[in-house]
Amino acid sequence: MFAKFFFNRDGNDMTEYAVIGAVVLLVALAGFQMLGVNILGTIQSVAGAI
Amino acid sequence: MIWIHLAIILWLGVCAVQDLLRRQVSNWLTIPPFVAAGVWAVWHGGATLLMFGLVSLVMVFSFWKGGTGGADGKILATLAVFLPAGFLLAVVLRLVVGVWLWMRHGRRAHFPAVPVFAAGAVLSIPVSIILQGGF
Repeated sequence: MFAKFFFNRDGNDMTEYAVIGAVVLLVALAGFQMLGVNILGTIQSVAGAI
Repeated sequence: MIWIHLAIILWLGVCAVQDLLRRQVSNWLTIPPFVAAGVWAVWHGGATLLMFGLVSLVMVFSFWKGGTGGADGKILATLAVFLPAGFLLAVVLRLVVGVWLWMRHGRRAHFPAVPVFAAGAVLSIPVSIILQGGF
């Protein structure tokens, strides 16, 4: 499945999957934040080294 | 940091135009940045690897269920690693656009997602300036 995903060129999202996927990611980010892990801030500081 | 920000926005702009015109994005535009993001994530580990893995997992699952394209997944995972502020805004915009289109055209309506991601990356510039006083 990952190989199919890797080589797939489609750029279309279905609305329900876009909404659910976005909610899952936002909830995960909020969860990390509540646990005291500023995950995006940490990534930003790592990416800032480029 | 500003040059990587601008390079990602330029890259997303090209991807967004392709997505709008063909509903597809060429692999030469998505695979090298995705691989670079994966290597960067493995190299640095920690939060970067966790986020890259989480986004890839969510997008592969969504792709497996037929709900999203492979290009969208690779672009979003790349964004999560190299431009986290843009990634956050891209996800929020994806939610807003998804809800709006769901209400207008139903839950199985399709839309090109890469322009939405590009808009999120562009919006992250003023947001970064406002929140941090710069990039």
